[in-house]
Amino acid sequence: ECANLEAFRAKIEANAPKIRPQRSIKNYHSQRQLQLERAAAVGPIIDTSSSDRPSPRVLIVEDNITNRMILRTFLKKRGIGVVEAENGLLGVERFQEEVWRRDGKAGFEFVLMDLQMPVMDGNMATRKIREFEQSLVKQAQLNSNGINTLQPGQPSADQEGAYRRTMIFALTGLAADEDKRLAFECGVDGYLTKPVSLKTLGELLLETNPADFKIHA
Amino acid sequence: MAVELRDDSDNGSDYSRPGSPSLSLPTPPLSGTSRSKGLGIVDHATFDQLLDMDDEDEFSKNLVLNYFEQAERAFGDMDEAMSASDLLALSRLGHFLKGSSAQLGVLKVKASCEKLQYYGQRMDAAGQHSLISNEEAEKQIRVLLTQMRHEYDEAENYLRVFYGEQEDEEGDEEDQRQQQ
Repeated sequence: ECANLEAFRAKIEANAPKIRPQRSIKNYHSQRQLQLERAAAVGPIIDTSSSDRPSPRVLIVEDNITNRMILRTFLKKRGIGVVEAENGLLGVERFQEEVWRRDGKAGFEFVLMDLQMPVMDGNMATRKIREFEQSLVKQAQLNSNGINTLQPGQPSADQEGAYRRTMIFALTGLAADEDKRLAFECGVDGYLTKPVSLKTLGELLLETNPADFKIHA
Repeated sequence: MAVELRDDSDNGSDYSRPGSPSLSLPTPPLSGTSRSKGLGIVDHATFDQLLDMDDEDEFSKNLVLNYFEQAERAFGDMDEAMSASDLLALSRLGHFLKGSSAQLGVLKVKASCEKLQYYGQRMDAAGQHSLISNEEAEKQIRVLLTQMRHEYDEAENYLRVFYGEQEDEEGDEEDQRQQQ
């Protein structure tokens, strides 16, 4: 068997194409610089100049560190704050912490949720987040009716308006209809298949951004 | 790459929510298979979006170097899992490396990782739920790991030349031959 593997490997090496990248990083950036000088920057950029607007924050729930690095850098360059979690369980915890941080009025502006993760997958994490949000909505309704059932130390929901639901986008390599159906059933608002086009992600954030922070292209 | 949004025709929710979006965003075309771009090793339509985020911090280069470290660790873990005949671990490792390979546009490694993910679950290479035996799965994975290692070495070489970390010796020799 070892001899067969060696023969197989030798065959691959003998038939391997000669590799020659047609361009280098330096060439790419010099060409890109020329393009940028002629065209406006693409992709939405968050306008944080208004002091009365909160800085938008996004939760990235993704077990792959490379993918987290990419999403983090993309979002930060657009003025969006980023919190990360490497599995669904930590994602739910980070989400709840954010709600406490905002006195129960809202969670993150967006959640980017990988579906296949260890410990807790994205579908279960989404379901847990939606259940938590529903409990906040019910609490807000009770408060608006004058019934205070809060325990000491718990945040109060905004009594002037309902809790603002978080947009959750699934990021996954799964493309089967059944997988999509399950994700939507668990409560995601959108579904992006990997590899994620950052331009498309930027456009999606622009189109679906919540009312209280401004994104401009 | 595709994007799909929820169709919110049900208004029975307790939540106050933004208006339901109904846009359909076009799928950007992939162009990584032509020989002038990536030679089928790296899909530059995917990879170039990382280059667009480069700054003084050399983001894309650090990302690629991180990917190399990640891949080396994954290959080591795969060898251990193979020795232990731990098919599920091999499937998890395949899925894990598939994700970062896909996001960097490293095409062949991504495709092989996907096969590893399926074989580790005793499915066939296309991910169909026709279960194969443990012995068949191990046999396929053993061959696949050798192939995947070669594909990764090819991609690593390509990217190191791209970033000037390594001389493109074969390309220089070919240039000299063409000039003669």
